[in-house]
Amino acid sequence: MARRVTLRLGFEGELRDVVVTIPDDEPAPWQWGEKFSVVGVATPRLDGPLKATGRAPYTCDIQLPGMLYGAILRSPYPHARVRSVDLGAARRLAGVRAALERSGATIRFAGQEVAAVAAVSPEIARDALRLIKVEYAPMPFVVAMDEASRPDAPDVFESGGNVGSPHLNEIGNVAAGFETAAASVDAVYTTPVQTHVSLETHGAVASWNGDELTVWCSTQGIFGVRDDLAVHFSLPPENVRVITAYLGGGFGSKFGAGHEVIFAAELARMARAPVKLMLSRAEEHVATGNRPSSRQHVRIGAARDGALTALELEQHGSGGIGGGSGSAAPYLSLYRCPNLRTSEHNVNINAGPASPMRAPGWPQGCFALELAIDELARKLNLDRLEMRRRNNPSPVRALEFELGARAFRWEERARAPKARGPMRRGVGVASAVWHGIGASGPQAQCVAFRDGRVAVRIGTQDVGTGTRTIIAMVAAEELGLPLSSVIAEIGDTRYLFSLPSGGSMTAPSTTPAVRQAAAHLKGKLMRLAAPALGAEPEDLVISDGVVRVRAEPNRAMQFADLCRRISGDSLAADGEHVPNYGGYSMTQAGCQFAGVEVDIETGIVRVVDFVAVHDAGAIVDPLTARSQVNGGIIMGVGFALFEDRRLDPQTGLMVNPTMDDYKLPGVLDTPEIRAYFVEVANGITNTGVLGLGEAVHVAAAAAIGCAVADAIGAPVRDLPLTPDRVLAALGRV
Amino acid sequence: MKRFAVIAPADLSAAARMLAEPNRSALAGGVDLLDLLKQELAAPDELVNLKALGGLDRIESESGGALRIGPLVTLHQLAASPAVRARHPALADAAAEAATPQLRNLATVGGNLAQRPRCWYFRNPAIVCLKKGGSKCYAVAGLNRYHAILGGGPSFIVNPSNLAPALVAYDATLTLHGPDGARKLAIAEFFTLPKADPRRENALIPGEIIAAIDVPAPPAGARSAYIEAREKQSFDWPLASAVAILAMNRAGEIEYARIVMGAVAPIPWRAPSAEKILHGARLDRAVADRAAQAALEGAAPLAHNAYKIPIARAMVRRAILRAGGIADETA
Amino acid sequence: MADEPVNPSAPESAARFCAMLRTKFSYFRAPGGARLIDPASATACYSCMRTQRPFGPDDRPAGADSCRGAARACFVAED
Repeated sequence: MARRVTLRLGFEGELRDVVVTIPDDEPAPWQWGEKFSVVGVATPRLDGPLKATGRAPYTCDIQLPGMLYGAILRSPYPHARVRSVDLGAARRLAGVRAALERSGATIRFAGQEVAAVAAVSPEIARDALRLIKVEYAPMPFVVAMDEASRPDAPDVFESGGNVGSPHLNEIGNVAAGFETAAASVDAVYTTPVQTHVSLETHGAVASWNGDELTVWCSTQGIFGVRDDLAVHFSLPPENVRVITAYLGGGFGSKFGAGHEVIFAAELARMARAPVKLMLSRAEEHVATGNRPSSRQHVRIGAARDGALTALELEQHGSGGIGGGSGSAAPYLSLYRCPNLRTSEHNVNINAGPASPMRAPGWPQGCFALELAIDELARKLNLDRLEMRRRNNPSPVRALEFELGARAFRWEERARAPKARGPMRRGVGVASAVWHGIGASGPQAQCVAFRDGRVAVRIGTQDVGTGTRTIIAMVAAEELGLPLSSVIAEIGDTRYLFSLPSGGSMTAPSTTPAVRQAAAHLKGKLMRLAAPALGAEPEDLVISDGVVRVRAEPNRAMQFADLCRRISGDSLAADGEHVPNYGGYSMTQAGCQFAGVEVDIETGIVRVVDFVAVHDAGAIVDPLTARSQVNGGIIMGVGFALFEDRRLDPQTGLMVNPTMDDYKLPGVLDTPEIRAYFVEVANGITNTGVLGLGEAVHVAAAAAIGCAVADAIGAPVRDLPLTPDRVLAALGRV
Repeated sequence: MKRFAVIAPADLSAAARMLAEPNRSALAGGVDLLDLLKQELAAPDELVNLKALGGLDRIESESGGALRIGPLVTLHQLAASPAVRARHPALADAAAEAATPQLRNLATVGGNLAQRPRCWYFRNPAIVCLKKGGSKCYAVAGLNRYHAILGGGPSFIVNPSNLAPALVAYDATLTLHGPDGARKLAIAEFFTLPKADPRRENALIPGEIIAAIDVPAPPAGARSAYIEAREKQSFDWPLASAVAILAMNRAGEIEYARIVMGAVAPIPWRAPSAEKILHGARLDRAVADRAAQAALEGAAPLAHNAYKIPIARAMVRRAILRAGGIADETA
Repeated sequence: MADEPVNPSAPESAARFCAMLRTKFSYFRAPGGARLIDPASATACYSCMRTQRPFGPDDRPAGADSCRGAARACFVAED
């Protein structure tokens, strides 16, 4: 059964009524401008104190009786055949309980797994690794993309050359577009390999009980890990339980059961004892994924008024021995251009495989595209924000540009004098797009207990964004309860299914399921309350923990008293995410403004401040939303200024696999960040919540790059914007 | 990390005798040592715990302004000491700029001077480089953006100590306590170039401990400054640093000048040619510029670190101007 | 583009991909239950569940194009 509902969609100044059909058991979507009591209230995350005091049990904190410690032996060679692996001496070491060999035939990157052991202490496990005898036959290798692209380069895979066949996109006629251009830019931009650097490394604790396997795992997707383990061990999925109560970040690198999870479970089965296997920081850097590099040859042209006429990208990128290095997406959708052509080539090198990383392809693509647009605007003598306005396809972003420019004082700062002694100030602006609209699949359960507590249970995981807090807030809002009455229980495959936390999908996918479950539970509770209040269930309302008859508010009952009418111990109801039934927009616009200061004698860049304006749909918790913006921008500062996985051409080894040499922004490197949200009623789900994780990261490095070019009067076309490159752009080295 | 025991000496002489035995390392703040143990660059059987010794964690100042600094004084103590700041502000600033507050609370002066270099080839346990008894310095043909631009060869490490350039500039003397007693050594002679022996960075012989650091008072009226350039502002090693000590006569002419650079060479790098230009000159921006130019004359960059030359030059110029009381436009 | 919104009308039937092929969106399902594997994606990173690496047990790269159809000896049909 379904019913028709009128939704007020859009944003201030652009609202319109849309009639949609929604299922009968689906709560009516939250409306534009609706007032809430829990949702929208700045709420410190519920598990903040546990995390800040070290009491939150992360995977690495799990201790089980008789637990062993696993460790992995990795190849020091970037390309080699493994002639033999002798585990004998390692197995004979006192305290070693299991060992396995997993070299395969060919080593393709320094850091590839060769063997693993489990022992009674981490120290003995590492001692055992030293006793494993491996005979390698080293082969020629290549760790630089340019070199790998040459015809005489060593092949990373025997089956073919290193440069893959291109992904092509073509719209209109690029050649004709350049002919009509009043000005054009032709330049090459590069971005380095960035690693995820999740504060919690990959790892798992595996424990067998007969043919039942329980795994505590640092993962973004507990059900994916469960299913992978079930496949690997030929078990029914219900025999595998995966628990991720707390997770120290993933950023795209923790989907599915990786080698470390499989090894932990295999070693545990061999040793007949639980095994904990957490990777080291160095292993994390070399073997658990990364954002691919890019070399982007951009040609872009525009008419005198700034309207783009042609855009062309010839891109090469390397995800090591993995692929997925494309960065064309922003070229295809960030700005309007009638004639465009993109060509993306993946290049294999002997380095650890890429994995998805926070807006795959986008920060790379945005950096090059936005710098090119700035270079073009300068040639046309146009204000850089005005240039973007002219090509902006999004009405939401048009509003964001206004809000952002006012907050940032763009007009004034873009024209302000740049020099103060050797310091040069600059500003930049860049656009973001994401699609954090969520997906179907998640199911949630809400349970009221006789003692008045309510639990909301869902098999999602909190990747660090505040999922636990926002689902409790949504359930409390729907049930008319104070937040303190609701407990969120997540991170366990015993709960109903939810999706992996990636693609900015968690908040938009889980909150509608939670809200529907809470609405269903409310229905059951109202039916329980109705006889006691002498009213029909549909005449009852609940707010602030009190059930009332709508027309006679004095006829009321405390929620706790209502719960005592539950005949068993609990009353439960399920809900699910209902597929998109008529959204205002499938995309999510944003823009970010950056202010930088560059010391032209040292080439050192400091990011001074940021203004970020984003469409987050309905905001459940303004604090976690702001945290997302802060995190996305800080990660962008790292990508813009510091981070670079550096591989030694002589040995193929990563020279900076530590958090000392792989440089990350610290407190003093973090700019002042001001976040603004445009309230867009999108009608995508019953909550209208959008995911923010990626939207807030897409433009950050680009905005910084544009600001640096503005500050010094010359573009630095290669990330990171290190002093050597800034000084070179200034002609000072 | 190999299994080890921690042993406690009764006094300095006992500590020196313990450390003279093979496979032993000194434990003070444990900051660099822990890195070396974790990266399996040091694998001692026993750590000789110098923190068991009393009296090595004090800063004593004499009425004339000279300092006696115990080797277990922390960088935080040094940075926060009014006595140090009074006459040796470059030393206080060098300590304050190092690492992070947490590390400055642990790291000791002795450990800061004796720490091993940060070269990423040296620090990589899978690479046997010249410093570890191998046949080549991988930085020569490899990734050398942070390596030496002066005094390099056959190894191209840079001295990582923040304190060392300041202590060289202030003419500090070290008391080294060894199994056969104590000796005094000017700090400039403590640090050794790789030409002599690429495997070592200083003149410590087995068993020797830095027992005291004596820092004389600078000349009357001298002013000093320390400045460093870092890629990151939080927790990073300098790309280049400089210490300047200047004293003027009544006529306003420079009659005493010391210029020492850090992070540019395998040892703290004094710049006599810069000092010569300053000597007798009246300080202005042009003089500071010329001195800074002179300081970097003879720099021999590798493939990827020529950018450190202008940075070091800027540090020298700014240190001179700051010591000379000429307004710093970067503040 | 793998990281565009999940396309409810995924163009390819997952039944034609090897059951061991993994990529981020293989952990998501389209209406109808097929795994969301999009060969047109330029950002998808692939791995093989047999090896936990971007290449299969036959040492050849894993991918939406190469792990499709029973021609490859290591191919495993989906249930």
